[in-house]
Amino acid sequence: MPLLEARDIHLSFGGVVALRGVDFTVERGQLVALVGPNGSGKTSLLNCICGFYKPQKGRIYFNGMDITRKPPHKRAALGIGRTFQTPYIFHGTVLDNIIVGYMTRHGGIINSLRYKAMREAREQAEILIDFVELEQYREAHAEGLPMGIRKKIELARILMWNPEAILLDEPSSGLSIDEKRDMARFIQELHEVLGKTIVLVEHDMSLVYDLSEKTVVLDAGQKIAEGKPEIVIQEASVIKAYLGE
Amino acid sequence: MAQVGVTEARLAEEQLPEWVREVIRTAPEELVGVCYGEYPDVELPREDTFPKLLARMAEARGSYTALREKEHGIWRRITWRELLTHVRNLALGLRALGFKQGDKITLIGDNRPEWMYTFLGAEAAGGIPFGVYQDNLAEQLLPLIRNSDSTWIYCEDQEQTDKVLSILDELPQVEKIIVEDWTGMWRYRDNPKLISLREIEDMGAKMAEREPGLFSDMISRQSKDDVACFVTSSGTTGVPKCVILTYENLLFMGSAMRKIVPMGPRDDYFSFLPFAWIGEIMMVFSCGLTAGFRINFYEEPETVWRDFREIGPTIMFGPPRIWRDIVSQIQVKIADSGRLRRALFEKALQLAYKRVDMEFRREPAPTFLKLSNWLAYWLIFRPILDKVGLKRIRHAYTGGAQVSVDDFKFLRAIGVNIKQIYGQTEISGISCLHRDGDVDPWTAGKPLPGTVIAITRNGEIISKSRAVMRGYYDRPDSQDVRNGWLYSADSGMVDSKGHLVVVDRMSDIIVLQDGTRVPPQHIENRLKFSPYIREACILDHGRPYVTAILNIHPENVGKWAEDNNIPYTGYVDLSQKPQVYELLADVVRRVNRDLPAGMRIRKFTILYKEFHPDDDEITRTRKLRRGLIRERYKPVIDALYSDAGEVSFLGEVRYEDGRRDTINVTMKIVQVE
Repeated sequence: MPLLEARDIHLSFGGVVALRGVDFTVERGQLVALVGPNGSGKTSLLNCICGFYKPQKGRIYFNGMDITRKPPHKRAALGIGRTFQTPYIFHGTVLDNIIVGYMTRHGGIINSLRYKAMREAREQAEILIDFVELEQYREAHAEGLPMGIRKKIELARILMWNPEAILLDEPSSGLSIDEKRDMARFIQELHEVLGKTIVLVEHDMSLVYDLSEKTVVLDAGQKIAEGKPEIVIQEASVIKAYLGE
Repeated sequence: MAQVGVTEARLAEEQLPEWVREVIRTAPEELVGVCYGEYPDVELPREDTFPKLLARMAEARGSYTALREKEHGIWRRITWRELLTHVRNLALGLRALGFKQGDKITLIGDNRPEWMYTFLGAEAAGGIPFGVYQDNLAEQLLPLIRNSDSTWIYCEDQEQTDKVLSILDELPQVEKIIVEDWTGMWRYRDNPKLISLREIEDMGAKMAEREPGLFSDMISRQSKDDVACFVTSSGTTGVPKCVILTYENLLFMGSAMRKIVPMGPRDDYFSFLPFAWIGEIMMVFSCGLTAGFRINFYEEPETVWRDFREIGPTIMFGPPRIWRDIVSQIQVKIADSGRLRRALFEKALQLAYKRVDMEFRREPAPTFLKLSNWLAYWLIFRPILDKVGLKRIRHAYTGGAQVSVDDFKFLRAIGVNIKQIYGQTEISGISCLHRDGDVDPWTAGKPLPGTVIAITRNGEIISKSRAVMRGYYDRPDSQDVRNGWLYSADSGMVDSKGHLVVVDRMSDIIVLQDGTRVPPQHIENRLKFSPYIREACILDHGRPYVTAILNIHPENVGKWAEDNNIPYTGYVDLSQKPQVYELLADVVRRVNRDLPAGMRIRKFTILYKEFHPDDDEITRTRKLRRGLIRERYKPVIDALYSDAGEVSFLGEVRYEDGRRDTINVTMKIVQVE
């Protein structure tokens, strides 16, 4: 049984059709890259999986359970974590921004205010701060920080609730070479050492080559190719979608 | 040589105490000056090796804090007993893996408790640890590992391991590489040469259960005459050498220093300077293990100054560049504050300078000055010291290179009890230091107890004590120690108070065409007092006048440029802005005002890049490699002595990711009236 499955997803906004019957499956422990030109529906698909968008037609299963009708926060509590192209950072320190992730799986605000929970949350946050190497920014105000740091904060935040499936929306966009390398290392470690299932939306093809086990190509709301990255990339339809005729 | 504020004393042998006369009789040549410490000798602790001292500490103060490390945001303590357990397990584990008596182990890593465990563990197992600078490039590590005959290597993390693995083909003798932090290294697991530190400790723990007496048996067989460790020499003239230091050397130095500087279990020490430096070895091991103060380690290299402030150390020893950093931190923040605060600070500083000047002249300060200084300290300086983490400091020392007199005065004025020391790796660190109440910015103070320092006929400083090294491991034929006297290659003299005055490296002193002798470090330090200048190199032998190549301080000049609406793209661009040249010309003019006419800087240029240790232009402890600079920048130097208004230079730049590139830059030559 696949960990994550989307069946025949149709999504449109008024007259604009974003997804036309996309099937998408991710096995447990797999690292899947989702690629395609701008506007092909990659982010829309992620949004359908995590519950931001309600597809007009189609079903979404997580761990065998139909989650099509569940709101986003319940899906997160079930074990789906997602980052955004532009990280969402609120007013507060880096530590605050990370530690809020704890509430998702631990009974909301009230339960998280118990001493034991706060202690556990802080301990977990510190382990993640160590993982994404943010020690020097721990007490800094998160809003003013550069993109590379913000992406790390967001990654640490979703890891706070230890999701089985991690959806990463363009984790390397806007990063310097060094930051990209760091990010690739984090993704690799999450996947290879911690055995996480990862869906990666990414434009940087070298990253897709290096990391992914399966690549799915979308174009104009349709899946046009699927398979090993080095093979998929050579398919005529993919080249056409990216470069035109 | 002209040196401000110093009266040279002539040697009067009949006035010397008997023990000093006996010592100088062994000198290999005629002496013109002598200074000496309080007592003829100091007693070493009964436990005469580091592992034995540690065992005693664990027995006497077992549950007290020995080390603290910030980890996961919290200061975690390690007691003396725990420290001993780690060291014991490592020593036994190393033994179980075939680490033999006399085996050498190179340690590469940041300051961490694990570095200490490995150092002491290797010693307890009868081996010789050798710490090297962790920011060395792979090709710079190669000769160090090879020359020290290391068969084991300790690497802190992936970064260090990668460097070692990249040169491993050329180091066939290396048997094992101990890795402490395996973050990101899941693909290295199959490499048979790598072993994790934890694994060794576990092995040792099992062995300790089986044979409980083995560890104490191992350490009881060692004595003060055994080699404690190798330490790198400063390496201003080439590849750093391996200095052989025995337990007697290191413990003598530590005991003598503790006679002068009271240190105890209630003191806090913050260990953040590289362990490859003798200063850190001497503070942490020679002093720490005998005095029992707490040693604190930072969380990450990037968080050093915040962690430093959280600890607020009471004892500190740092090279001038660290003090320079602190002073410039304060200067920049003051310049950034409001007009009222700035005015108050300047007024307070004026009063404090007055007090410090009287202190240097050994005149008692009048009551009004004392009172106003007391007020200034509590109302103005103390809050500033708190911000930089120096509020609790009792004893601060600077050494390793010449400190700028201006920094020194500034720090003393704002209430830091900073004092100077003089020493070398070859004499286990310190041989000479200021005493409380006897501080003079132009001298390095008096020798330690049991130490005699003398000046030879041609002005070289030589010293003798029980701390003088055995020799160089990789240079057994060296002539640096003759008949127990260590030749320093520094030129100096003894003043009327019995203090040692260090002038400069013998070979660095510049002799101009007309015979004027110029000590370059002195002028460079005055230049570097400006927050806008990071490095300076004074030139040059046999020329008609003095010139300088300057490095801007990128953060401070960058900030200045922003404040003055001067746009720039990067270091190269910023350094060559005409406005920046004007800014630095002002600094040079100010420095010239206090210099004798013959030593004034006539022309200068700003280099398009910083002198960098990766380019071998400066050592890891930030001492200029003058020979190399003269060679590499010869066209620039020639231009400084021509009528040219500028010079173009095909220079190499190294980017942060290691790529190299050559660029053609045009640097201006500015004449200063």
